[in-house]
Order: sequence, then structure tokens, then C-alpha cells
Amino acid sequence: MPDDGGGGPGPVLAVRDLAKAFGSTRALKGVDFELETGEIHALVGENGAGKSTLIRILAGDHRPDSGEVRLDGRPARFAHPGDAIASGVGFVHQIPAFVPGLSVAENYLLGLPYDRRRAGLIDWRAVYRDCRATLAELGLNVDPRIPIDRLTAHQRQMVAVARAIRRRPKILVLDEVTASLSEPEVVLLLEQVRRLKESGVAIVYVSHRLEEIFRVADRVTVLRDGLRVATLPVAGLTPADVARHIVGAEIGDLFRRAPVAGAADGGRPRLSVQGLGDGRLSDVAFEVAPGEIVGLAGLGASGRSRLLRILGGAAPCREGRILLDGVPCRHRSTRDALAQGIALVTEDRNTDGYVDSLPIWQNVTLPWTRRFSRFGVVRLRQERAAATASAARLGVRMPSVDASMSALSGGNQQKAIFARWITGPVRLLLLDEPTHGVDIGSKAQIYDIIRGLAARGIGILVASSELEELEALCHRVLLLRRGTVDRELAGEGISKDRILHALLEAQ
Amino acid sequence: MSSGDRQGDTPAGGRFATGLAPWAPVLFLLLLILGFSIVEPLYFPSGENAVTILNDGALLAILACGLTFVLIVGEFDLSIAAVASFAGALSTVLVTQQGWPVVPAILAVAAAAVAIGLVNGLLVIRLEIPALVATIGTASLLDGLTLWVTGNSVIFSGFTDAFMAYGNWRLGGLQAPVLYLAVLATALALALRYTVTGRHLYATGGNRAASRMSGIRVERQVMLAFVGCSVLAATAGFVYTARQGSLTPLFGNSLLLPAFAAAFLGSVTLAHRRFHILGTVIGVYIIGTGTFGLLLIGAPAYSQQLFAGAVLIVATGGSKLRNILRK
Repeated sequence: MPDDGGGGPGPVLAVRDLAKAFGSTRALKGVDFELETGEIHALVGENGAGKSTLIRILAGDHRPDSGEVRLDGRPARFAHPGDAIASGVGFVHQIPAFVPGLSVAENYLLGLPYDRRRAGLIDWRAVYRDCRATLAELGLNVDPRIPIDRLTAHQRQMVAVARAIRRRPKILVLDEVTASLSEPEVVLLLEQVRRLKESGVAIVYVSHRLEEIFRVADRVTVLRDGLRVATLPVAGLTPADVARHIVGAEIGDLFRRAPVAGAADGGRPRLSVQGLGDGRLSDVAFEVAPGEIVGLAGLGASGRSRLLRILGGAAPCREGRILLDGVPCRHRSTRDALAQGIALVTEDRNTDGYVDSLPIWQNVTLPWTRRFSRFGVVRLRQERAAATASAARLGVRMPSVDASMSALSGGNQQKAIFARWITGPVRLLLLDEPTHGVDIGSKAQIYDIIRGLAARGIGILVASSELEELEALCHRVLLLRRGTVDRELAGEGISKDRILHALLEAQ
Repeated sequence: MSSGDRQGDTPAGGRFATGLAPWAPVLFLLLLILGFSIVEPLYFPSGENAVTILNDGALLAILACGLTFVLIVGEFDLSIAAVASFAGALSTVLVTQQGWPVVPAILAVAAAAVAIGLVNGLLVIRLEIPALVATIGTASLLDGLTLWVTGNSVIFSGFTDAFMAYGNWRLGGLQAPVLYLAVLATALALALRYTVTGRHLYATGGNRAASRMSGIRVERQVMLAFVGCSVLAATAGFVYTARQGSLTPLFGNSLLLPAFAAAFLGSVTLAHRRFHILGTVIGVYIIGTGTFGLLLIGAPAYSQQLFAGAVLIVATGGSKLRNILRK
């Protein structure tokens, strides 16, 4: 801190030849990284490229096997997360840790001194004023006195950012902070990030969303297989250039449009929703043809997830009708829905996507175990073979089908979950943020998987906050606003810009 | 304590990795036998002692196998000891004081056990009381009932031969409890591995939300585990009483903590933090062998408690401890 002002052009953070192995896995094989004062430096790479390990070392979570970290030219050794914070390095993680039950303000000030009154008592009014003001700058207007649990995931993410800013860091590491945010929230957040940069904070920005990098970052460093493959100024690059560095090869078909397969079928719709509502949603009506991929776009808490949950039986359907292949279905649980061939893939696979204590193959067959059994006795060999075949068909990269799901990268976990839905009879697939936390290479593969499923005649409804994703995948996109389907875009009318325009102008 | 440190531990997914660690408790059991045989070469290594250890541990093992089911679905049951005591008391009172034949008394005990399991399950599932709390509650209620029906006194008259026969038949040197255990443990272990229900129990315990999303009726699995656990606890209590031919109210209490110790010891035996029947049975006999051996070599009585506690902590914390020491 004392020798800032750009005396020496030395980087505020310099990482030299950093290496770290976990058992036989070499997560980092000698990585260099420099962060200059007042720059936003994007850090990208596939899952498993070494980003998380690098960040965890910076945070004091892990200790490196070799190599060094220098802050303002001085060697820094963090033995504990507290050390990093004390040295002015702030972190915002993808899934921020909070103390449930404490208020927004208490979580906001976690580990920091409170404003006091003379008698040493906490000056709650000052605390709330401070909290409210910082949150308002991030576009979040919530009562700081309510418990943190009452906030939505994206609101909590904003509180995490506010908390990191409040610590007045010299260096701020933002790790996938936009993963659960919708476009307007991303806009507000990036605005704030730029403002921090102008106030002299050096920022490491980790994201799978390449286009965000082009919106804020000055330079980008790409990691692959535990090594740095490039550090380049963002100006003059294209997303395709960066993607090429990340994957190490050309990925041409990521944004290839799906063929309008069964959409022109003309027959009975796979799914028909009529007048669906539950208080927050009202009079939702649309259809999905067999083999059609229909997108759901909406801002913030538009009810996308809610709609999917109702259709998937995870939330009650209070009004309206749901017809599957023309037959009304009254399902009261995900079990009922599944029995009719409706599968729901939720946004947060760590929470409700897989059972980590079961091996991968049993996760693939999780809903179908009974189908491999006779008189309640499971034919394990047959079951395992079926799971292995499904996983192989979708190209799940795994040590073995007997490994645990947490041994896989995010993208391969998601592929394994898709393998589940090709192992049994599914007619309608409901996808909520299908590439959440997935690297770009896997993303392309997952898009291909989704197109492949549609080609088999499965109807697909996909909710996504990534507009490029909808553009890449969908035959039609429904805009959800004020709890109802407000507009529909189709065919060539689907582009990121048009969706965004339509969403904003609809406001 | 969740995903973060798990990944830190085993980035390559060591969860199902084999290695030596899962064999450590088995190895330890063999070393125990070897050690006692060296210290007491004349008295310890005998077929007779082996049979004694097997017989002594059998009832605890039946109790612990039931507990294993509840632990598999991610719950706790602290009422097992009270269920065992109550089953013993109910059967004794019905046979010795009400003059019931044994079979109806067994049916009554079974019905009571199912009811207790259902109550435990409903308290946890419907009223959402944490299992630890709910089952402490039912345990206390049951202990109260036991003291009431027995008049809080030891009963040793009126035990019919037909009743005592259930605990006193034998096959070679093996007594009835071991034979019950052999049949029950085999059936349960096979059921857990090879039936749909077994898989669903493990899935429910592993991730309830994900299991529900996959169409598994998780509440039903939890209920089933509580009912199974109570029925096995009642079986242990009934057989114990029939074998003794007398009843000391609340005799089950001393079995509660050993049952938990055995199940947790079993979860790191031939497995990585996964409850399973074979592990639980081995856990029971590690503690049983140690206790018996210490008694035989004349160690003071308190050493048995020290032994059981140390084994449990080292076994369950061992893998972490090794990581820490390596740093």
C-alpha cells in the first residue's frame, strides 16, 4: 500500500512458477500470473484447468508445493484465509458462504468491526445505513434486517460482493460471480466492477461467460491443464480466439443453430400448457412439439424456474391444465411426473442433481433402478452395463463408472446427469440452466447432447439466463414477464440482441 | 464441511478407491487376536473363547444392524435401547403375569415395535423434529412404560420353557443369538445390496433432494428404516430376555452407545464412511474381542471403556489424522 502511485511498474500481484498436486493429480504445473494496479484481469480455462486451485492458493485455502506469490513485490505466504483478507485480497465466490439465520447486515459485516456508540454498544442504525447504501449501489434494495435466508440466490450473490467491497481490498478476486445472475443484474455488477477498477482496485475476474470478459476485462490469462497458455490484451481478440486457447482446438459448432427437426411435425404437441397459474404465474399458455427445443427467457425472478418446477411436479399446479401428448396429466410429485416421462434437470446439481455417496453408474440409473429388477431384486450387472453405455454415448470423461460424481468436472457431472435421462423413457425434458458452471468445451458437447435428444423426438423446454445459449439451442424462445408468456421469438428472430431488446422493452 | 474439503481431500475421487485404509479395522481385529494370543497363549486362543465372543456380541450386533438402517438414510435412533428393554418387559409381563402363550406375545411385541418405528418416523418426517430429539423423547416414554409394566422390579418367576426356548436352543457350540444374527445379517446385507429398496435407502441417505427428484419416495424409505430398526431392536430385546429367563428393567440401556460405536466403526470398515451390515458386525466384534481379551489378561475393568472409546475415535478420524500428520 505505501508504495503505490505507480512508482515502479511492478505488478500488485505476481505469481511465479506455482505448482500444486493433489495426490497424483497435478492441478498446477508451474503457473505464472501478474496483476497490474487498476486493471481487470480475466482468468479463464476449462474446469480442471487449475483456476480454482490458483484462487484457493491466493485465498490461503491451499498451500502451494512450490513457487511463490508476491504482493507489491514482497513474498506473501498465506497460511489461512484470514491472512489473505488481512493483506488486502478480497474474494467473492460463486456460491458465497453465509451464516444462515443472521440478518443481511450481520452477514454483510461478518468478521468486520461494527459501528459503535459511546457505551460500546452496536450502533445498529449506522450499520443498517451503511449496508443499505452499499447494497443500493449494486442495485439491491432489501431490508438489511431480514435474515439472509430470505434472499434469492442472486440477491445473496450481491450481498457477497458488497461484503468484499466493504473490506476495501487492494485486490479483488471475483470467482464466477455472475453464474446465478440475470442479464440486468450482470450489467449492474459489471458497472460496479468498473467503478472499483477506477478507484484503483486490481481485479481478477473468473468467468465461464466469455462475452462478459469482453465487456469488462483489460487482459485475459488462459489456463489449460495446470499451465498458462496465454496472457493477452482483450482489445483485438475475439471470443473465438479465447475459446480456441481454452480448449486448445477449434470449436466451430458451439453456436451452430439446431435443425428445425420435429418442429414441423404438425401432429399433436408433446406438451400443451393451458392457463397455468399459481399466484405468481398466471395464465401461462404455450406448446412444445416433439423434437422441438423451446427456450424460456426472463429477467431475474421471472418465474422461469417456477414454471419448470410446476411442469416437473416439484411444485403444485394450482390453476390450468397440462397436457402431455394430448392427455391431461395431474401430477403431484416429481415421481408422478417421471412416471409419465417428464424429467426435470434442476439448476443446482450439487444440491439436488446427484447422490455423491453412490457411484456414477448408480446415479445414471437412479430413477430407473426398478426397471433393472425382477421381484425387487436388481440385476446389477445389467444395470451397470446400461449406465456405462449411456455415459459412454454422451462422452462423459470419468476415471471409471465406479467413481463418485464429485470426482468429475462440472461439465462431466452434467453429462452424466443427461446420461440418466437417455437411460429410461423420457418424453419431455425440462432443463433449468443446463450449462450452469460448465466450461466452454463441455458446453458445446452439452448443446450437441440436447440437440441429439430433441432429434429423438423428446420435447425440450430450456430456461436460461445466458441469452447466447438460447440463441444457440432454441427453435422458439418464450419471453416470460410478470408471470406470464409475454412474447415469442422464432427461427431467425432469435438472437441475443433481439431477446434482450424484447425483454427490456417489455418492461 | 461439505464439497470444499471433500474435493481438497480426494481430488481424484478417492471415495471408492480401495487402498489399505478400509482394511485397517479388519487388520486391527486380527492383530488383537494375535496380540492376546501372544500375551495369554494358554488361555486366549481357543475355540471355546471364540464361541463365547461370538455369543456375547450377537445381541448387540442385531441391535446395531437395525441402527445401521437408520444411519443409512441419514437419521439417528436413540430409542433402540429403550425398545429392546420394552420388548423384553412386554413379553415377560404377557407371558409370566398375564399367562399368554409365547407366540401371541411375540406378535404383540412385533406389533408394538412396528408402531414405535412408525411413531419415530412420523415425528421425524411429519413433525420435522430432528431425529436425535424425537428418539430421545420416545426412548424416555418407552423407559417410563417399561418401569410401569414391570413395577420397576426384577422378574424371575413364571418364565415358561416355551418362552425360554427361544433364547436357549443351540447348534453345536453356537447359541441361539448367534444363529439369529447369522440369518438376519445375511438377509439384510443381501437386501441392501441387491434390492431396489436397498438402493433407495442409500440414495435417500446420500442426497434426499436428488433422490426425490429421481422419483424415489424418500419419506417412505425413512419410515421403513425406523420401523426396521425398531423391529430388530425388539428382536434383540426379546431374545435376550428369553435367554436370561429373567428380566431386569431397562437392561437395554448399556447397549445403546456400543451399538452406535459399532455402526460407526463399521462405516470405515471395508468402506469409506458408508454404513453397511458386514461392517457393523465386524465393528461389534472388534469391540467384543478387545473387551473379552482385556478381561482375560486381567486388565482393570475401566480399560474396556478406554479401549472402546479409543478405537472408535482413531478408526473414524484416522484417515484425516494421517493427512494432518503428513503435512
